[in-house]
Amino acid sequence: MRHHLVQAFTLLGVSLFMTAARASDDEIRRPPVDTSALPALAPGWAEINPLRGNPQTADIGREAFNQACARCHGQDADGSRSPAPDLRRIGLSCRRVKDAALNQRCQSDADHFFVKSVRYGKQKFGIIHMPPWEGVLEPTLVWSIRSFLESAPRQ
Amino acid sequence: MRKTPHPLLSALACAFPLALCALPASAQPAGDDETVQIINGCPIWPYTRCPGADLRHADLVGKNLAGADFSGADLSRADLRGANLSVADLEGANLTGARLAKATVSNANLQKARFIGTDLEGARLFRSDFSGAEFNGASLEIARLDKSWFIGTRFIASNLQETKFNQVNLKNAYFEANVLRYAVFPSSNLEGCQGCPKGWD
Repeated sequence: MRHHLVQAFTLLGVSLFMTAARASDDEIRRPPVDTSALPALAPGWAEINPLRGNPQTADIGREAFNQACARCHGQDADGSRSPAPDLRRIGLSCRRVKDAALNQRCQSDADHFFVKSVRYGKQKFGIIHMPPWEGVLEPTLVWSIRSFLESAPRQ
Repeated sequence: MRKTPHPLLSALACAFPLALCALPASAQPAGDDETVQIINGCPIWPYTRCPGADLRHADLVGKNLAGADFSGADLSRADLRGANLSVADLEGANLTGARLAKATVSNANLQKARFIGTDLEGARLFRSDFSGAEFNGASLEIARLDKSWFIGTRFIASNLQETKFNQVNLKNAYFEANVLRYAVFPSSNLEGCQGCPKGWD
């Protein structure tokens, strides 16, 4: 009898621990990444990535990506074997647009799609495929991730 | 500078197998000098933002328009055969007479869109939201609509032959005078659907 009770309590303890661990996994929080080296941005969301071309952003973005996004989108953005889409493809076609003004517009469209997806997540028919990061990730970090994705190597 | 293959090699590749040559433009590697197609101020590229754009009669065959915002756009008689409209926003768009045969429109928002005489034959319409849309005289022959939603959607005088309504939500939808030969509705929600075929609940 005592043996059964011990077994039951052990099972209960394990299941409670697993539930708590799962809840903690599902909880989204800002990755502890230092962005103090990056320039201060104007409040709100810019129309186009203001950190594009900044040499420091890619490393910071990579660190943030691997902590917040890699679980679904692949380590170092290698989405080739990941359950979620390969984010390195967003805006890739803009590289072929040679006209400067059009290229800016193309990048802006791709940036807008990326930021919208991050802020509001991906929810379809009541199923949350990706949680909304609005209020969790500030623009500096999101733009850093975007910069990293553009520089991430593709096989 | 991108190297172009020898013409003879291209000819051989096209002669056999033929399918390689039938790939849509988006599936083929584009050259560095590709010019951007702009129609009535709307640039044709993925994620383009053209809400309310006038794209009537536009030739968009095989174009990659993933993530595009065409909400409220007029795409009447536009040719979108084989185009990629995944994750696109087409809410309230007018697709009257548009050609979307073999197009991919998955994970898209097509709420309240109008499909009057639209050709969607063989289109892949997975996990998209067609709630409040209207299909009148449209062809969805052998189209695949897996896991899409059609809440309150109207299907009138449309060709639904061999259309795959797998795991779709047809709550409060309306069916009238459609060709339903070999259309299948497995694991679908037909609650409140008027005119839906019986025996699939």
